[in-house]
Amino acid sequence: MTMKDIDEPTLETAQYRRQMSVLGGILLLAIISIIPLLGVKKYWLRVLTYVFMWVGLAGSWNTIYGYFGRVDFGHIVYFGFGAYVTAILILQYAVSWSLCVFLSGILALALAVAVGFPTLRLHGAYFAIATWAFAEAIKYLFLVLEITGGSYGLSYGQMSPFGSETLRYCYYLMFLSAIAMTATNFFIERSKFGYALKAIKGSETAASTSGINVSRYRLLAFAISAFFPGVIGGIYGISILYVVPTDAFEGLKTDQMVLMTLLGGSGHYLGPVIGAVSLTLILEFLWANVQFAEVFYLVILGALIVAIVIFLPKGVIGLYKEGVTKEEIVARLKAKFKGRRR
Amino acid sequence: MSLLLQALINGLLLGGIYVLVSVGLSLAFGVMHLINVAQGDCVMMGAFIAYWIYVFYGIEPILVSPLAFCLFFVVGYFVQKYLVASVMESPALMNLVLFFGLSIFMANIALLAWTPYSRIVTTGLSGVHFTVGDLKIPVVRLLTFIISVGCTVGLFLFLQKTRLGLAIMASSEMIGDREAARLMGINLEQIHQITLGLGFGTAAMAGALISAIAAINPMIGLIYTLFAFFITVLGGMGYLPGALVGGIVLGVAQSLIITYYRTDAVFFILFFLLYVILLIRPKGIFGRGVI
Repeated sequence: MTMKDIDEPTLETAQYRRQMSVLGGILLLAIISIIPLLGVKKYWLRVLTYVFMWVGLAGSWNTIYGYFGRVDFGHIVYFGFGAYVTAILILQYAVSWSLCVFLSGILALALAVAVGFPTLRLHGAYFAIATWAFAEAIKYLFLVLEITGGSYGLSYGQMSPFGSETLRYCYYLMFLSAIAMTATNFFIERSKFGYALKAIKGSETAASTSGINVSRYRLLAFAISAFFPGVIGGIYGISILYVVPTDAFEGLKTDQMVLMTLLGGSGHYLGPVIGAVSLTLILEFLWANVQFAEVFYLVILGALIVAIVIFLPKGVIGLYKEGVTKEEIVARLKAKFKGRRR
Repeated sequence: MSLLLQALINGLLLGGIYVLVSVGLSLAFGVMHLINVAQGDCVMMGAFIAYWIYVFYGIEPILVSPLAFCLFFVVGYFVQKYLVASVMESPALMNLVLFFGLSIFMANIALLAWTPYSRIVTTGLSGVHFTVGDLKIPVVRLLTFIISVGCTVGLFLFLQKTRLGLAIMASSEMIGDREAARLMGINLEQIHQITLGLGFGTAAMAGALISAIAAINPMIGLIYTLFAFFITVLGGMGYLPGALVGGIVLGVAQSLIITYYRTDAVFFILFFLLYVILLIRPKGIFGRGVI
């Protein structure tokens, strides 16, 4: 066997690598799923729960932005809505938690259909502003409504469905939601539906002339992307034991979904996973170790968004997919800075 | 009757300032198709600059407003030159996300510098007012109204009557034609830098004026971004005279809601109206906006 044979990637090595990465993935998931049984500190369980939450949320933003190119600046509305649906059903109607969480997803999906039907006709910046306006309107509506407890919100108190086991249950529920969301994106990417969405992203006119029912497909994609935030919102409310409008509909949460998706790379099912995991851990580290972290981290968040848009528009995944080496990155950065001095 | 008239006057005076808040947003959209979601944060920064100068040197915020304009003209110029220019050719909406990052950045820098507490500038002018019949007209509000509307009209004249202004209009995507402008020897990059400079500058100037009449804190940026969007969408995105009408309408509407309904419902109604207007009349009430 010569050196050349080893260097040439053959079909077998490609297949071998794929098998290994699948095996590695399964092993990783197995390890994550037994972590709570190993007596890990509560702090770390909580951090990991948030990591899963962000994987799910960023993934849902990726479904709209990555696959059919819409910027939704009010995606948090489905999360907050889900949190309220679960809280109201559990506290006022004593419905079992599993049904509540599922219903949160379904009702968020229904809301998305109702909202998406008129809103998806708008394009580009108009769509972005409209979704933002709608989300903020709902936040201010919930601040004055009676059933949602106004600005005091709703508190689970003694009605918490899991009692002292809340942390562990929420860990698994968030974990499952994150996997389900990522898997949904994985299948969308490889399905005919996903290709149709990409065609719509390219040009709606071209897509509809080639026989794609544009309005139905985009409504469906929008609805799917709202289901998981609804479910995750419900679990989130149970995990922190209260729901208030300023937290559940916080615009900052949408900002973070955007940042995570862009950082990891949009339009690829692993992009938001990379973005969410790395960013949540970095922020958690800052939060725990740096003074005034709660303000500094937002300054950094803003600067990061600007930096990513300029230097890394395709995200980390984009670098990997193009097979960019370290030297090329340095060369690119140099070119950017030289270009600026022009 | 006098209550209604007073509410209308208050709304009118307030609306004048909102015009200046929104005119830069409309200009940047009309010329470059940029959505400056950091508009409100420029307003907030301008307000705090005026506040600081008042605290350290005791100068009236109204007198500081030209300085705020100059300072933020420079900021906008360089933001366009070094940040936005490199994403002008990127996939659509990347610039939207960029401004979004800038907005978070500015709001939290301000939070570090000035803490979250609301501040009010109280000068010798603050309490002074004169009366017409049984209507009360505060002098500061009248002055800020005049300056703000005057500057907006000045901006219109600048765009219509000067060579530089005409060059900006010519390279606007709505009225002119980018390629034709380039062929006529207009330096598009520079025009874009000046346009964003004007957008940031007018916003900061509006902020300085606002600091004279209202409480300010680092989080008001979001509210003024909402106002700016509401006005521009109502008047038609990129259609400058629409901003004049939109601003006055918003001021009067806000004043009426506060007087006759309830204060805490203002933002719900405004956001919801913004959403509805976008759905049914995205080109604005005059139908002159760009899509």
